[in-house]
Amino acid sequence: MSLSTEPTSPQQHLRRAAQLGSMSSLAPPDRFLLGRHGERLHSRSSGASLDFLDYREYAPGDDPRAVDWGVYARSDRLAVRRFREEIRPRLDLFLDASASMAAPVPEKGLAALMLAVALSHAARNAGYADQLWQLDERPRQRLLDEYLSAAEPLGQLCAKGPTPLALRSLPKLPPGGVRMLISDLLWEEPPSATLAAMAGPGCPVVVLQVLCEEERLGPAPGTWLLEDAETGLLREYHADQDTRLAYQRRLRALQDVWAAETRRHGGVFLALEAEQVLESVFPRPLLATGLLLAAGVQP
Amino acid sequence: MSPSFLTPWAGLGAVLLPLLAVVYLLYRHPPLRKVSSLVLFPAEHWSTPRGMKPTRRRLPWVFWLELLLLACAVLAAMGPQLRLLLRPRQVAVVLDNSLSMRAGEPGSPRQAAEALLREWLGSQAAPESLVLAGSAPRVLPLEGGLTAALSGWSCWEPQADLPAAIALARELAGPTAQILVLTDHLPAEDALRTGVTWRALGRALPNTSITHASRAGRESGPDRLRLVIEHFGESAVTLPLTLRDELSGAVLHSQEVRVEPGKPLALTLAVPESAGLLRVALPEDALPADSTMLLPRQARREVSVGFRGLEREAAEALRRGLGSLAGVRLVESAPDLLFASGPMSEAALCRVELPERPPEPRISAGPFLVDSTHPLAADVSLQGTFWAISPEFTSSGIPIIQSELGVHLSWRLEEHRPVLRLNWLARGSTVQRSVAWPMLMQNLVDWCREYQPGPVRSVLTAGEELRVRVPAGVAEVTVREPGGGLVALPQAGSEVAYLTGQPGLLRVQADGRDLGEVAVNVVGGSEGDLRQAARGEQTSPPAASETVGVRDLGPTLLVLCLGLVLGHTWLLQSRFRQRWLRS
Repeated sequence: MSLSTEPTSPQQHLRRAAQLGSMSSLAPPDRFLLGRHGERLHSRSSGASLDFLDYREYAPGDDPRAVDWGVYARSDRLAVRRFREEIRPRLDLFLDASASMAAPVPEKGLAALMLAVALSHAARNAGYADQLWQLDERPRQRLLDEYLSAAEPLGQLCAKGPTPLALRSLPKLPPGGVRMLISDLLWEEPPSATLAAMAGPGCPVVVLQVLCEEERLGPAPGTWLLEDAETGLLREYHADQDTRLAYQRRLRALQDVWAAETRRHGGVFLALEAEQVLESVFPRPLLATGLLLAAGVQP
Repeated sequence: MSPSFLTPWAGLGAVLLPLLAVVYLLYRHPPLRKVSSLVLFPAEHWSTPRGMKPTRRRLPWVFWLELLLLACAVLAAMGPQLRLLLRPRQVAVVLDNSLSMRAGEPGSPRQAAEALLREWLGSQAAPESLVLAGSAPRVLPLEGGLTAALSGWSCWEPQADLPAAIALARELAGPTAQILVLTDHLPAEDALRTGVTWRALGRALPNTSITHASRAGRESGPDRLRLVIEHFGESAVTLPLTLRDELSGAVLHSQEVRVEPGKPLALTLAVPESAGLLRVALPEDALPADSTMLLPRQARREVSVGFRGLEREAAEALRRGLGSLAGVRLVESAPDLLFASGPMSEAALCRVELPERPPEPRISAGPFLVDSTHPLAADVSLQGTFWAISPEFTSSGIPIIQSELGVHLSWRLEEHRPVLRLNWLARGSTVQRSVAWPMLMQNLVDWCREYQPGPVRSVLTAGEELRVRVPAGVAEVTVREPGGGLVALPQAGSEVAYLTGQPGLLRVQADGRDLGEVAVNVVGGSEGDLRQAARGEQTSPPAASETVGVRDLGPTLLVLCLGLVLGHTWLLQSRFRQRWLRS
């Protein structure tokens, strides 16, 4: 599948992603996140919501309005009703903006941007408080409009620094909420370290890996002079059928490690094809995870 | 194969070829491909930072084709030549057939050479050819076996042209053949060619030779005998010279002669007119064959001359010219030499055709163009003479004398007999009153005499060819050799030939009737000088490898270049097609 068959510009792609995202809704975390043993996750804190949690003994200083007078009448005990904490879900979306996202083809970075835009809109629809982080040499908070109104949205993808390093310099984020990473995940640092840097207490992670076809299959047979998009390192590489298979095995192994580590952090790992994202914004594997309660139909 | 640089540019190209390959390799970058990361690429397929390649660099076919194409083009420009191996080495044997090989018998060089040859052939393959080195090289037929072939090795010839024989042997056996030369002297310094083994089997011996002998008859009085004797030794010798009648054995003359080394002794002896075949002899020495000679009586054969249809002035002039010659007889019928004018009906041995008187004769005062190499024009000088001719009388055959008016004398063969056309008119000519006239008549008679039946010459040197004019109607001509053998000569035309060998008296017969006797002598000369004879062996380096011929590889390489260009084009087109299909 060719990535450059769409006649539209990057801005048009991003507007289409925003439109589809606005018609979608990101599911609450407990709908798509599972605990270590597969159980649903709930907030364990009490709050001011309407959902009853339990009773506790009255303590001086408690709001008298919280005393359940019926219980006092029946048992002569002062009991205070507790309700579940009313949490507004938060989404911290980390977008890998390193130069590697524009290689080997810029459409890969465009697909990642589209995902970020669409998921941000879907999160807002679901009442999430979303925050988009662009991972350059250091994390930077960005507004969606900055991408949508940029003349060259892909020009944002030019960071030279390794993405895990940027993640390690994140400011202290509020606890709770979902932390989502959109990247190609092609770096040498182990996934556990990266996930540890972005995960927080009670913060499930969603990792979306976006790869183009050449990255999934490996380079075509022949001798190539490979240039690392971030470091500029040059390597002469001879590819044939055997090396292609070896490349694909290594990629599968990498993805397996990421999936296992993400699961260990109570999250979801998903590998997406950039071509499918360009075509439908929310590809079928993404929908299958239940990440979206309602997905807009592509116009 | 030794390449030679036909052009300096070819040499420069050969030097630059590896440089081109290096430049190609250095500047040949693989296509640049930007990737997001190198982590997934197996490290064992990377090049090292210093350029060392852990995996073998696979150059494209196009590179090898281009390299081969350049190499072929440069090689073709160098003009390479390939020496081709055709067959294993052959051996050819050159046998010295000169008289000196008989010196010192028994134990002569010839006998030693024959023994050596038989011994050598016992361990070697049969020779490719046997070549006799005489006055002219001759090949001995090997079909009848070696013994039969060697029977033709007579060693009676007055000289041995060894270089010509070696050249013939090499021509027969091939340029790589090894040539074995069996002779009695060593080769001249630096004269030994490649591929020749020279075996000298002679001995330095003193020898006395009769180097010249002739017998001249006179109209009256005794014959005159002229001898030249030479001694090839260190000191002078005194020897008895004997002159005998060969048939009766009677000694006609005897005297002591003293011969100094290096000083030929010339003798003139008078021989009785009645004496027949004479033998002049010196005592036998190292080379007995050149110490004796047979000298037959030089009987001049008579030539009969007749005239038919000639004008009176012409007949008179011819009669006057011929009348002064010896051995000429005017006859009325069946002449050997016939001068005739007008229609011809009578056959003769030689016929001279003259013109009839024309209405307007033309006269030439020269200059005359004379073919002085022709025996009819020998010693004929026409300077200052007038020669009248008939314009209507045409010539035929080979011109001998001509002027601006046309051909005056020409000749041709008609049924193996000579016919001359003499465009000469007595009236108006002064040539018949010049000294050229008797010379021309003498030449005519001598020439006619050669066409008379029988041996052309009565004395020959061994190795010379005996020519015999065959009379009309003869079925077989035979030669009885000195040893008694009778040889029938193959007859073709009016003349047969026989190669003389053993010295002695040859008797020629036609259908059993005697045609004449021929004395065959050996003449010492240089062959009688045995002081240079030696024993030894010299071997030159073998002929350049076992190859024959040289093949120019340039055209082959150019064809290969063309094929490579086509293959290169096809490969590029194929690659382009693949890219196009992929895109």
